[in-house]
Amino acid sequence: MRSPSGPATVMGLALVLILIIGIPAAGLLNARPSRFGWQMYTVAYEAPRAWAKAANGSLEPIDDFVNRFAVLRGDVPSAAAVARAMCAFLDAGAVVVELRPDARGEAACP
Amino acid sequence: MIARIDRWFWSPAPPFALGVTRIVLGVAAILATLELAESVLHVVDGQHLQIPTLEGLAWLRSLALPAIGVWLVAAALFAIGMWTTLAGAALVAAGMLLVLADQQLYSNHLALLTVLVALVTVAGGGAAVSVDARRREAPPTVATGLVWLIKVQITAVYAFSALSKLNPSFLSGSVVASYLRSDGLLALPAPWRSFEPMFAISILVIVIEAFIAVALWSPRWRRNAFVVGLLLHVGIVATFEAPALALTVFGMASLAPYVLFLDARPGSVLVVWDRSCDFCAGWITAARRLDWLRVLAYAGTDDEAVLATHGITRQAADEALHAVAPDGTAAGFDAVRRVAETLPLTFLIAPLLALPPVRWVGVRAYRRVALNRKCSIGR
Repeated sequence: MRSPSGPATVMGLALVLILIIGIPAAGLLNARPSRFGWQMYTVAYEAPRAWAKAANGSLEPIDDFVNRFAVLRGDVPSAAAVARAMCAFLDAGAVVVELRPDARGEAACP
Repeated sequence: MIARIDRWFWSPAPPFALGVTRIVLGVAAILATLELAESVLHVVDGQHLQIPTLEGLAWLRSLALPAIGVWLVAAALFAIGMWTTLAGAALVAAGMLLVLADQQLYSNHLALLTVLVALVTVAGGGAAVSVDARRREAPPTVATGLVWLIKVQITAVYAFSALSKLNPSFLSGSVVASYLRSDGLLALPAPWRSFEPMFAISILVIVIEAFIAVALWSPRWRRNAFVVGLLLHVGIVATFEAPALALTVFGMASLAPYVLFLDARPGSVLVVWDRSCDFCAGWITAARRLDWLRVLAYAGTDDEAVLATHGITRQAADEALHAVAPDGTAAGFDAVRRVAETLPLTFLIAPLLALPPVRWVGVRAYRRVALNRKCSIGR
């Protein structure tokens, strides 16, 4: 196997170690479960919830929200992105999504 | 210092264990295709949420279905070690595309498979136990440092899995209770889902994961880690409510690098056996076929020089198989176990043969077979 020079090897090795250890280490500082943090089965999931928000600000629960997920995972990172995606199925001014108690997001529907 | 690290990193290591790791990862990737395809079909059917990982990369979703096809073909090629580098690169590209295409397509087993395949590919996973090796397209050795990185990666998985469970929710036992099967033969009875047993299991899970992360690096405890790791993953598949296929894939991906921790220097375990014994010859033939790491070397009981070198008397050699390893010499059933500990198909469960009831039965069964074996010459 052709090998790079010594400094290149050490720098490459350090970079890969930072990726292997640094990313999951950083994940320990975030809410669990954190992606790429190897945090399997660290918290219990509750079913995510969503509400359609009317122009007057009233919230109407979306009953079939859970069934809209292609894959229901507890570690979907962005509640706002889920709310934006949910707009495609609703005639609402905005959608509010709560994936976990600490992951709540809202998106105005176009 | 830099020169020393450089020399160590690129020093040649036997390629056979890496080849075995590659095969297991390839098979795991093939199995994962079923689940990945189902997920992708849901993502693209228009009836389910489409959640791009990055807004600017939403167009990647249109490539997700073709990526599944690429994944399956590449996984098969990777498993057999044909065009291994290309197959590994295609697997990694397909895995990354799926993770980037939609937030719902991420899974820990997809991430782990992708990372391990990338590391095995860069390390030269097709160098042995592969079609590439038969064609002599691959180099005969792999770099020690690249193999070491794969070992670090799997250690990190167990270590961070244990660390991340040190939170009040997990320690309360409620997390374990929520994942355990609620029906079927392996369902835990409802009364057992109380705080005390669930708390005990939660602590046990953390201790087991931390133990594996540490013990894999310890020559003394490594064999225990193999068994504990196997039982952990089999136990998760058997007792958790989550889809068995996904858990099986994750288990296979996690166990695949274990073989890299074996002290598997070619020819490092000398098997001294009775060449006149037909039964022994059949057993040795099987061992030769399964010795993909080429750890075993062989000598006959009539080789006086070998017996003298290793302090084995002719009578002892005639009475039982001997395995001479760097960590000592074993005879009879213990030698069988020592050989099993070097074979990729058996090394995970071989340490169980040392447990008292199993060993007790094994030693007696071995003696009975040894006494009744048929010999073509002599005796």
